[in-house]
Amino acid sequence: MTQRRFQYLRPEDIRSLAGFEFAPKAVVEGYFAGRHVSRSRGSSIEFRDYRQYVPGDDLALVDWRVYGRTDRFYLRTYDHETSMDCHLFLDSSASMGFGRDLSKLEYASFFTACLAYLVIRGGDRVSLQPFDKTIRTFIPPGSTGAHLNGLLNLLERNRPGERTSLAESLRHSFPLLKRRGILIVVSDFFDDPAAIFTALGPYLHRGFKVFLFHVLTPAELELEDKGLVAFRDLETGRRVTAHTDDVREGYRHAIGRHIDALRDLAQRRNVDYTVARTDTHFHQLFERLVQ
Amino acid sequence: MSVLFLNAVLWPLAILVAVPLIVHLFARARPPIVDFSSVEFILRALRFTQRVRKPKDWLLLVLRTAAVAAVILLFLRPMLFSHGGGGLFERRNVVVILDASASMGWSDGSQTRFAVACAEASEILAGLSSRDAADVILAGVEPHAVFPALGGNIGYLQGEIRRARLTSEGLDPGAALRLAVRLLNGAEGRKEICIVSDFQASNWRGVKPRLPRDIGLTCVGTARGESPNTAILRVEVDPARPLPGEEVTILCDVANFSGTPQRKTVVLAVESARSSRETVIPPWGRATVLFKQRIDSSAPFTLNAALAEDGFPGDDRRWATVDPADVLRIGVLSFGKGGETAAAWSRGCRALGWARAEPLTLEALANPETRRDVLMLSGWDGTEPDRVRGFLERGVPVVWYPPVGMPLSRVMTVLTNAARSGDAGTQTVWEEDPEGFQLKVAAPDHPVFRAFSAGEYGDPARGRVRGRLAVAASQLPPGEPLMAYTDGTPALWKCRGDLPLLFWNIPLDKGISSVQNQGEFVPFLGELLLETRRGTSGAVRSARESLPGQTLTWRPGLEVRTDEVRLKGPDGAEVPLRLLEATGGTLVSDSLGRPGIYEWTAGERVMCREVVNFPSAESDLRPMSGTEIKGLGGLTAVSGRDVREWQAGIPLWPRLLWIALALLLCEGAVVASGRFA
Repeated sequence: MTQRRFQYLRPEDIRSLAGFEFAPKAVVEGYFAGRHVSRSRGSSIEFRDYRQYVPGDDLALVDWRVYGRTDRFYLRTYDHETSMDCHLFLDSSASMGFGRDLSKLEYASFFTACLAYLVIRGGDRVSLQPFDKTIRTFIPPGSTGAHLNGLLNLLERNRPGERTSLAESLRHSFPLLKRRGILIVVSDFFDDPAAIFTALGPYLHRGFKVFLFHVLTPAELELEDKGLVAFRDLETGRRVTAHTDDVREGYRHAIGRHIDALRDLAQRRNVDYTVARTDTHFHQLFERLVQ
Repeated sequence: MSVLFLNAVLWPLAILVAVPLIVHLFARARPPIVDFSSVEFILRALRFTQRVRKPKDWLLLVLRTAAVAAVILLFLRPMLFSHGGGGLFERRNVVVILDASASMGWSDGSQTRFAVACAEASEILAGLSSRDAADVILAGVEPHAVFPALGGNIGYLQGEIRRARLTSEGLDPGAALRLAVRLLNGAEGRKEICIVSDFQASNWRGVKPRLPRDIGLTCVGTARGESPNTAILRVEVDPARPLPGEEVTILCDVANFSGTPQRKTVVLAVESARSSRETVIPPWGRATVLFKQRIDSSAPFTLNAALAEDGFPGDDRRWATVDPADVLRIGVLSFGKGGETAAAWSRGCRALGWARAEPLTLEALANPETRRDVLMLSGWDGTEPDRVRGFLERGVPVVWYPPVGMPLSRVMTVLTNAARSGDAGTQTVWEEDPEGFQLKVAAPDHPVFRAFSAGEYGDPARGRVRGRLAVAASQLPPGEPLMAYTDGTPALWKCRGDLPLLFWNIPLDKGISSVQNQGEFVPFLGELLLETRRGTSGAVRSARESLPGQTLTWRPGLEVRTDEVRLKGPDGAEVPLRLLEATGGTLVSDSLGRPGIYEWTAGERVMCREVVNFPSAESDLRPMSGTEIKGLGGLTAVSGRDVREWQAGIPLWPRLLWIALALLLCEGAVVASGRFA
């Protein structure tokens, strides 16, 4: 598919992903016939339902056998398979630059690149929106190799930006997405959980299948023992002096509550939520997508 | 209390105390900067923990600073002088008064008080350095110091303490303290007296050491716990000098120095004969056991009373010598108009046979060597009352027929110490009755009249007296009338109390009285002389007795060569003697050791027996209370080690090491509590 060696889509990843197929059970809107079930009813072989005939309907769709038994006109309706739009939201805020050997942004970029590759390999379309406090770039959905190249190039140029505002970005992005499909948000979710889900509301109402991947490093989950240090916030530059021994337990408690709040809200809104630790391989996240 | 730092040169290290504070402040000010994705959750954690962390931080700072301070002080090698020390480099002069009196022999089952005292004294001396000087006084009746002056040979003193033996002596605390002060006089440096004693209350109570201001006093008590004891305090013979054929009463006073009643058997051995009596002695009380013994001959003999041995055996045995008299020596002193009465007394004594009236002069009365069994004073006007009182105090009965016109009450008061109010200046008045005054027996149950109760010897009150002293009972000391006139005027008045004084108001002058001519007069006089010797403690006190620590003296007669005379102790060992030429050849012994019978011998003959008894004051083993010991004016130490530490200082570095470790442990615990919380 591509001859150039990209940073976030390595040949070994491509080989590893050979056995994967991105096929989440999501109902999508599509222009092209594909593997995904569409709410748009039409001519296809997948029977969906009967409905009563109304003037103007195509008589060819009338089920005459039912008419023969019931003396009423019913039309057979079918689901036709369509291509899927996968919208990738990649958090590119400054906090995503955190990580000792592998930053969260790099980890998320690997995952995003491979996901985009899988989507396009499956004949579906993928869009990418890196964001920090708002949408930094929008690459509309596409399913070609050139589109993938463009996506990968963008990922390589992408650098940690300013502070995170996922809710704001989601609000700005909503008008840009013409078709419903799958919305995958890869972020560290350093935002108010309630605001995030408020912003996700329109997407969910429109029928998007939403996947949230909460990228965290082990150092963020378990505060490392560094003694007395001044923690400098990557996004705000604010400094907080504390002894890691003193605050570790409280920190663990606070981050745990944040994760629990996100998980709880996701469960209630039928959103798929996954904590992605950067010390686990991102391939494992694909299993989450096909469940 | 003061502290001296042996490594004071390291004081600059004290600045290191500031290290934890500096580290605390600077570590807070410039911690390393670590980039973090979001400090929001750290801030939440801080808000949660800050309430606890702030005080904990201060606590940690205090603990760390204290730990560093303890370590620094440790290297400075501080010495604590808790009681006026600090003169570590000053020469010390220490006199240890080691109580070697009999009470120190009490054993609590493992070791005696004396053994404890020796160990404590040795410990005190061990705390002295080579430049210090010391001496040890072994305190008994007469204290003696190991060195004539303070010396530096501490090892020798410790050896002397090891060789020291407990005595059976009493204790003279004042003498020991005076000797200690004398030894310390003129010494340069610090001066200290350390008393190691059981501080037996009977010896020490009331002692008020008056020490020079530059002499310190330290008291180390060795008495621990209860010390129950029973003792024979007194063995007395009444009368002290019985006549052959006379029955004497032997009194054994036993005491119980414990809080529980004690049933004890007193065994009395008179020569080879033994008898015993059982008695119950009340808690902290006394009992008197009586034995009766008839005296067969005029030969002197010894007797010995014993109790079953207890934890303090020294006072469970007591001796007495009895020296019967061939005749009673009656000293008759006549003054003025009392000559006829004195003569009548003398005639009566001669008629008795066993009594010998010996005329007495005022000069002889004043001589302390004069010895009489009974003193009869006729017409004595009260001159030299102290001499007469001396006789009374020795238990010699005094029969006094006062002259006319003397202040009777005043003299009686001097003699008996019995104060009478009102008529102290009233003089005696002579009164006469041509018909004569009739006598009567006022106390028929008194032993004097026992022989007359059956009528065999007639009526002792027979006879009439035409003149007498007009004396009222109120003018006489408290007592009882043995005989009185029919109108109630006392004729023979026995004063009550310890002193055997009889007031005689029966003139025996020819032409005035017919009493002396009656046949009953002689037996009455005899009974009076015999009975007045009985029942007085004074009579008993006249018995000769010495105490351990004292010396015995004996003046051999011309028939004995001085160089033949030996003094043998209870164990048969000879006691060294020295001859005092100045006193005409009196032999004086060394200080006496153990109690018992000591015999003066010349060749094979026993010339004289002397009794040395355990000092009664040592039997009550109760020590003074801590407050009372403090009242002596010095420091009170529990052991010699305390004294040693007070003198040489207590090295504080081991304590500081423990404190530092404890502080670090606490610091670790505080830190760990944060982690596990």
